[in-house]
Amino acid sequence: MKFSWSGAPHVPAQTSVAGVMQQVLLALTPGVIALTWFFGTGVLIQLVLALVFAYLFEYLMLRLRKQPVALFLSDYSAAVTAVLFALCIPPLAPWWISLIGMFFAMVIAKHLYGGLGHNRFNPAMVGLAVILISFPLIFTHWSPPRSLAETQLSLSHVISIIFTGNPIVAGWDAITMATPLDTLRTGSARGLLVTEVRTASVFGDYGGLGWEWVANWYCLGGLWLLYRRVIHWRVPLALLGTVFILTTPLYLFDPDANPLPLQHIFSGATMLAAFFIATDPVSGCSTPKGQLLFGCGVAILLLVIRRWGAYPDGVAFAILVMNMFAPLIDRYTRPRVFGHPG
Amino acid sequence: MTTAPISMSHAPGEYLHSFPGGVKLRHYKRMSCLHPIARPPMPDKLSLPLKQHVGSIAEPVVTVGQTVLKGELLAKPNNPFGALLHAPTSGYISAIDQQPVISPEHATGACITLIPDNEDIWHPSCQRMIPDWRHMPKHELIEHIATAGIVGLGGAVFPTHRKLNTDFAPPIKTLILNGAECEPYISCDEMLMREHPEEVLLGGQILAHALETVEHIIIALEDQMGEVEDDFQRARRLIDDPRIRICRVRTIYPEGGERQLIKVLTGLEVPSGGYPQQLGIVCVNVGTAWSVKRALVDRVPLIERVVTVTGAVNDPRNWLTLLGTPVSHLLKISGGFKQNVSRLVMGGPIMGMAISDDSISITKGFNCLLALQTHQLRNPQQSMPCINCTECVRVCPAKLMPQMLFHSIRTDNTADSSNLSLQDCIECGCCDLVCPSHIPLTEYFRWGKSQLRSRLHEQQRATKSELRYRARETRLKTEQDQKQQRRVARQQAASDQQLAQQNIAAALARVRNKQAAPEKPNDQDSDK
Repeated sequence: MKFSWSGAPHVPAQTSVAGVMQQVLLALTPGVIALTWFFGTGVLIQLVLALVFAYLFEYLMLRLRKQPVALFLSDYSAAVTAVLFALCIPPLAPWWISLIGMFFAMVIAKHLYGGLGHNRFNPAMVGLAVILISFPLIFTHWSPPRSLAETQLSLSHVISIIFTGNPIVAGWDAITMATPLDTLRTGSARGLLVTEVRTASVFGDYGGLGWEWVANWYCLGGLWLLYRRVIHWRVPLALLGTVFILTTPLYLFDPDANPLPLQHIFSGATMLAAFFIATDPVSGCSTPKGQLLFGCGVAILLLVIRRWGAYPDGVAFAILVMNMFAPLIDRYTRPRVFGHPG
Repeated sequence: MTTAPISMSHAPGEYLHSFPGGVKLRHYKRMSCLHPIARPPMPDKLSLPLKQHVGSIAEPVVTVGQTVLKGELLAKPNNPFGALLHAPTSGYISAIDQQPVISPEHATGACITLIPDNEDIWHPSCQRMIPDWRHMPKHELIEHIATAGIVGLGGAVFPTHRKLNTDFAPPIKTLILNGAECEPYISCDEMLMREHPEEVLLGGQILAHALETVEHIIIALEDQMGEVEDDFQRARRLIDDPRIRICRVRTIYPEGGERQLIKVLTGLEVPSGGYPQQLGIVCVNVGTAWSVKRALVDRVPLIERVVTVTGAVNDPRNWLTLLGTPVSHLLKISGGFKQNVSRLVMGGPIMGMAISDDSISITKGFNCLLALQTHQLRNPQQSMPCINCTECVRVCPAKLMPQMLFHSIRTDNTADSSNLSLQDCIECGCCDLVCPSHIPLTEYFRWGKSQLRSRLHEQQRATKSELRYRARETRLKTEQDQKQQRRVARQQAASDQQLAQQNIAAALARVRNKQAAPEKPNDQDSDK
């Protein structure tokens, strides 16, 4: 009797790329729900738009590159990119923002670099950076958190705003508001003390009103990913730890000029970056030490951009810059091989 | 963390360290442990490969048609890494020819075919009284172990007498009997330890005696082998040797690997490319220790071993199998296959080698015969690109960067592979088990290692030819120079001769002149 032959191991791995991506999507769900709860149905519309464009470009590029379409469309990686992108743009942004963002994310950053597993830069952040640089005004049109909204927009209103770019019910000022980080930035520029700025209604206990709860839910999702071993603890810990350690002495030294350390952690996309973006394996570091360095690097750049940069939040740029350094860091932080001298 | 033996603050096995990486796996061992070890009925023929050890093939010392007795020598090795092969039963040699054997290339190999006469008569060299091993000098003990044809039964089939020959190593203080059978399904060592704990310990004592300086004999068990430890504790009380220590290690794959087990028990790392002997440690499989006891006490050479027949068979169990028993015979008496069996494996599901033909036979390194159903197998075609998730880095017991190695091998960058220490890969397969992209990493690494080896070979050959070329150049140049020198010398000699002749001629001329000249002054004188 003859039997099939193959090299060892004979049993399959229990995980799959699709499984990993599904876990990430699942872990993002609480954050998505929280964001929708606080900032309206626009979040969901942006999500759908990003998903549609992401899969459209993914399909086209797979066809162009003559890759197995069904295999790669079912790996959920495009969905992760789309969701991360959609969570970072204002809920009332016009529809073509997703189109442009996803074009740069999927076509340029992902497929032109060789597709899944070969992208040097985080696709969602490439898309976001392009939007940030090209259409910075869009990011000043952010919906106010639920409790501060003067007008409750219906779903049809939201859709018409996104697709026509025209705030029908009232002016942009009535339906949008500066984000806490933006408020802080303009406040500081006007020479106000941080404590004075923080009296603005957009602030909550630590970070922005609503934002801090969204961050909590991102954190919960992140802890789930840690528990399921989809991500490793090093990047999130190094990132959040560095933010905390660097901002604490500044705050203690001069609380009027420097915001609370927790405010940095609980506002903007810090938590999202710590658990979902900086942990992107493809564009990040792979050595244990390298992952710590990567997290620290992102944190430092993030703080530098927030403090001195031209943008209120710097997650996208911080991540992209560290992506550039990832191969170099990996090269010089290889662990000692078993049985080799130290 | 240091590799210096001096830093060992605990006695080996007193404190359990951990090794990097590893994977927790389901055991699947219970199913084959339900029955005691039994002897299978005698098969119709035994096919004994001449290569059942690491070195090159052994040379038969019997001829076709010859009758042999049980335990009679059949073949002996022609190099130091081989081992003797004995007749597992009495009968006659029907053929010495090429038969299918286990190898990655589905190759055939030289085998002796023995038709049993079912008399099972022992050869006079076996089962006779020999002096007590306790009074035997080291070299004699090692000689006896070599004569019994004992090799490592854990699968490495390295000749045991070579392991004991530690003239160039520091004194061996620690002997580890490896019973940490970490791969799923395999239970032959567990069953052996359960049924013969004192014999295993006795084997350990004999080995320790052969190593002379042993202070610690450690039995390493897995913590899931509950009853085995009790059996050993009982056996230890009987034997009463203070050097013996029973250690239960975590059940985590590949804890039973020699390097991993040594790290766990002593905290020391066997140097890359080195041997445990360098650390004063010798590690042998419990089955090997048992064979040593059988060789030295019962005077029986290695002619049978415990084989687990398990997986998708109807009656999984352990058999004390004669070497040469065909796999098909074992399968038949184990109740035959369940449905959809499409792969047979020698060893476990992770490091085992696939067998493409069930006519091959049991050899010394054959610990487990595993039948796997189609749905249990991995699909080699289905692999995605690497997403650099570093799960492989987390589980690698050699602390390598498997995902980087994969890229270096794919891009055929042998320099990079070697920089990333590809040669330190132990091919344990942990990376494969956790890879979400289902990349056959271990396959790549085996191939990459063979590339490295051939590259090294090529380099050595190139260096050798370069040296030879240089030597030739130098020789030619020397010859040329010598020729030149000789020519110059000859010319010199010639010119010297010429000069000499000229000198002579001149001298002669002077003499002649002189002879002619005196008349002149005389003339002058006469003029006066």
